[in-house]
Amino acid sequence: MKPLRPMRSLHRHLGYLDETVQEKKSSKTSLQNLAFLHSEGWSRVGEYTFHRKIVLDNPLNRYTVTEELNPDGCPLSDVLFFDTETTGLSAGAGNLIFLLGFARIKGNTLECEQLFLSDYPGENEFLILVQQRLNEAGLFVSYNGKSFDSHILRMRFILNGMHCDLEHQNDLLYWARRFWRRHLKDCSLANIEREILGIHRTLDIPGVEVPVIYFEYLRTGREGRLPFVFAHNLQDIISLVKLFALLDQILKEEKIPEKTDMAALGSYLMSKNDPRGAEILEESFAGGDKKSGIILGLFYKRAGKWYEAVRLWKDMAVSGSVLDQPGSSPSYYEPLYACIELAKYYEHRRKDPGEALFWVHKILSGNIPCITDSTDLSKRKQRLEGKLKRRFKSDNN
Amino acid sequence: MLSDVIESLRKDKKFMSAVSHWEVLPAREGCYVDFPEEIDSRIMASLRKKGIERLFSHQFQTYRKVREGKNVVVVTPTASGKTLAYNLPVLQTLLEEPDARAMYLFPTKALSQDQQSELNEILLEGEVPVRIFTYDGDTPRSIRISVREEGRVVITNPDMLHTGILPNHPKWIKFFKSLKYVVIDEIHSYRGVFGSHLTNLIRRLKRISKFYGLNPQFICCSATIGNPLELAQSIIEEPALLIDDNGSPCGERHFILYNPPLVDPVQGIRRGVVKESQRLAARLLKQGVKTIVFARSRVRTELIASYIRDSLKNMFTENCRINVASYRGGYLPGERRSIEKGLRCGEIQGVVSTNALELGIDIGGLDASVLAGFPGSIASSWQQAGRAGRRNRISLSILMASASPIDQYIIRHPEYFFSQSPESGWVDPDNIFILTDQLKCAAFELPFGEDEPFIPGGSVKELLDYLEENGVVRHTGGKWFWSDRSYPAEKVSLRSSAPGNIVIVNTTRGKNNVIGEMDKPSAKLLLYDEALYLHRGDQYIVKKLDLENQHCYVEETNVNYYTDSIVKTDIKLLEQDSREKQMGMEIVIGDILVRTQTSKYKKLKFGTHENVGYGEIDLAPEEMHTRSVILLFSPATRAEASFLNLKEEERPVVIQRLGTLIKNVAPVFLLCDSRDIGVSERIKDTHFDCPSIYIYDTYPGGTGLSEGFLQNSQAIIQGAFELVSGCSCARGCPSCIGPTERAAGAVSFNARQSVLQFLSRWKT
Repeated sequence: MKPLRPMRSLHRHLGYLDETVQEKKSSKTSLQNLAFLHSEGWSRVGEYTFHRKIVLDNPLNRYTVTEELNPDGCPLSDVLFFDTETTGLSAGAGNLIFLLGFARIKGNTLECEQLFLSDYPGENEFLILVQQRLNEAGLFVSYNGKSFDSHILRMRFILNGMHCDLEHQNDLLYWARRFWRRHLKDCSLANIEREILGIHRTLDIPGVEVPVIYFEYLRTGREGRLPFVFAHNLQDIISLVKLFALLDQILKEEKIPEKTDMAALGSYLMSKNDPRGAEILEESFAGGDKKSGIILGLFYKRAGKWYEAVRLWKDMAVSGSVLDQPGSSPSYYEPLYACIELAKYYEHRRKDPGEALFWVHKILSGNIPCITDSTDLSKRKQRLEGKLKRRFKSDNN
Repeated sequence: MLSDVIESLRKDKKFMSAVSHWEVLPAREGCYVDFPEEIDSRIMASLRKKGIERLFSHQFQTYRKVREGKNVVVVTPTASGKTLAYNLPVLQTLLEEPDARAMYLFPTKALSQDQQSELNEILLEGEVPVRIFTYDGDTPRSIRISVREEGRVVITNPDMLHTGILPNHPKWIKFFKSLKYVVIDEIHSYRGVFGSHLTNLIRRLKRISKFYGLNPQFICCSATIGNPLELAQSIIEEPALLIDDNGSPCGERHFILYNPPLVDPVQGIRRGVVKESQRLAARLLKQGVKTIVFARSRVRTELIASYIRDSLKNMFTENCRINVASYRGGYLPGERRSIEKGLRCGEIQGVVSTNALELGIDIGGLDASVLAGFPGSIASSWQQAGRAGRRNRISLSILMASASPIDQYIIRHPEYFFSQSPESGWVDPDNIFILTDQLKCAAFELPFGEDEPFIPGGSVKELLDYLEENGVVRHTGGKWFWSDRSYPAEKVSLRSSAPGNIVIVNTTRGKNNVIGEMDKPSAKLLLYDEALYLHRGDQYIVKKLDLENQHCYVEETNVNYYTDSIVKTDIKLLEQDSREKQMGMEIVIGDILVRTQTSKYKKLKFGTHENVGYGEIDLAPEEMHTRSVILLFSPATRAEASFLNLKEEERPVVIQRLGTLIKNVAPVFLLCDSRDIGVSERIKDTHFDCPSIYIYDTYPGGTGLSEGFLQNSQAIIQGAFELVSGCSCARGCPSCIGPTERAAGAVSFNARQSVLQFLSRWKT
């Protein structure tokens, strides 16, 4: 075995691969230094674990929420809102959870709790405290928890020879995407807060800074910017509850924020056989949203309500030759879509090749830019012309 | 049938005049053993269905030893049933123990896929209840969970183990809690830096397994190399048992060394390997001999294949019903599978391949192999030759020499070729660069305990302290914890070239079909704008190479030329770390930039290969920032004095031969592979203003080989001297300073003598 003497070139090699290395100069902190938090409300609940509880007004001033949000109908007091802060963004084994925020509804109040792991060796006791809280819950509510937080939690439990059950989770990211993806540039919680919930954070730190602050604290033993991380996490939890409340209002049609994609809402309700879905779509189509028309047309077509379907398509086929929104997928180019649907309808339903050909010609005449593969269209045209010719012949005979 | 062909070759005076040696390796009887009693009846049934009634002795021995719990290394030639040797004990155990699992590690993705189809065959396409999955970059996200949860055999590659599986081991808890066997196939490909990384990967794997309470057993397989047991043991770092007495039968093998006839005896110009191998292959194919041709490059593979097809076209009767395929990396997986299948079932009689078919992909038995040029190593030559030869049947292998000095040396010195033992493989897992990188990955996976034996018999404490100083781990409560937000495995590449392929898209007439792929450095050499891209005999012209988005757009075309780029490599010193006098020369160590630029291409006519035009290539050079050690024969050193003592005309030859010599010797001392180091010589260095030899790492960023060279320079130079003075050759050979070109304008002096003279004067 050669002596392991790190060389200057090795340092350079590591620096070459990892530019963050240079800026860090480690100075060791003893454990005693770390076992103390000055910011408000924290108390020690283990050798390395700290806890604080903050009681706020309950933003969800109701006793039940819609079935969509709480499918098993678990009591609202058993719903556990949670959010983690970690030392990295990957889902790998080296990513540590050092802060967990919880919120629970207790009558008129919202009870928020945070557990803070002040150094690595305390993870076991930290997770035992976490586990107690998880075990009491009937439904978990998170933001992006299905693909991130619960993976990391599960991983941390396994690494400590423990187990946790995070089934029955309602990940609000999916809801946010459904309703706001169309009109927002991203569906991060921060953006939803700003654009939908109308919450404006002051003095917030960006999420990518979180690990840096924690490592800074570990190295120096001083709280430094940690209070910002605590506040950030707390705000995330509160926003989560507020978002939950808003979603309940939307699904009950009590309040619908401006930037909501009505087509998506209507379509969702229709998928649940809720008659309000069609109403919302009709209204939104009348207000100029073509995507609603497409969804509605499809619905009418499947339900065999041809009269309504044709009405919608004709409306779409003649109105507007500009794309609904830039960057939307070509299938949403509604005049084209509507003409093709009409051509199909007249050819197959009404057996009227002449009328069908009219709609095909409308596209081919160039009034409607044909963005999809035109081979299907010309095939259709040929077939229709053939049918028309045959009909003409048999009429003459 | 083949014996008649061989007879006719022997009688063919023209052919025989180009043969420099004809070796006949005698046939060997097979050594059979009955199946062990306990083998599951379902496995037996499927083996019988495949026509396997008994085992070869080495398969039986592997089965016994694995079942006894021993680590084994199986070394037998191609097509000797190596895969069955390990599949049998593994599957038997998996059927007996419903919880046991196995991991198969293959160096490439293509091999994993091949293995999966072979395993599925034994498992009767699902009737035997053992679930097999391939887990690599191509595995769809949707089935990754099933792989982790249900996979009894998971087939993967080192890169995926490194970045995907180990760092996420808690997700794989079910797998690691029951991992009983680890199969490492083609272990000979893990030499040098790649092998040193693999060794550390195995250390990490064992560490994770131990965390879940297990010690998996290792089954390694290797092609014939100089030291298979030693290599395998140094990779798994445990004792293992060597199984190398091949029990499979082998027919008589005719091995011919062939030097294409001279077309210009005055200048010593011979017929080109491309045309000559095509001629020979077509001749064999027409006589019903299933033939494989190994070409040394992708372009040559395509050329030879299309020439063979063209020459068969001239015949009547549907090209004599002979199908000839080309095969190389970069074809779509489906295309490769269909070629392999075509070869196995006999629909395809001839194939031209790069070394992609050298490894264990199952293509059934062929009768003849033609090596269009020496493949670069003795081990590869035997692997490629071994592709011909079905059990009990006579086979023919022809090694055709190109004009390169090594090829010409081998063709003139058959005794060298036939007596030389295959190259050995070395690893140096404790190379401080590799170890430090791997230690970061390991710390990410699990915290390090105070006395954790990561290195057998050594300690990594010092290195962990070093990592702590740099802030990536935290030492607390008696353990080192990963304390950085990054994902270290992502930044540590096991191979010299970064992954990420260029996708080749056919856009002819509005089409948008992916037809193939290519790694980025090769794309710069072969897929520049206006390049002719040959793909399974079809011609495409490159319309646009979009490196940023990793796409290359091509269109079908039909022209009478192909293109060949002109590559220039230059080296620039970026930073000098130290410069010291040592052993009568100066040694510099520092950072260099190796720049490879393709700036022009030639258009070469099909068939005649005459130059019919040029074009410019506008591509950014491929740049590699790495470490280098530079030997300087600077003024007032013994090296300079000795060098100046040589005749003017000797100097360029001597310095170039010294480079070859160092490339041959250094890997032995640095425990690396010769592909891990680059050597470049200058008769007068523009920067240092004296003769110089650059020796550099071929892994970006360097892996400590330059530092290792500096530490071992005395031993390496001494080793070089001993090698060249003790070599049995007369004027230089591939094992020492490289062979001397005897053709055009032969040198008037003996290069070996000159090098020796230089070395001995310098040393004293």
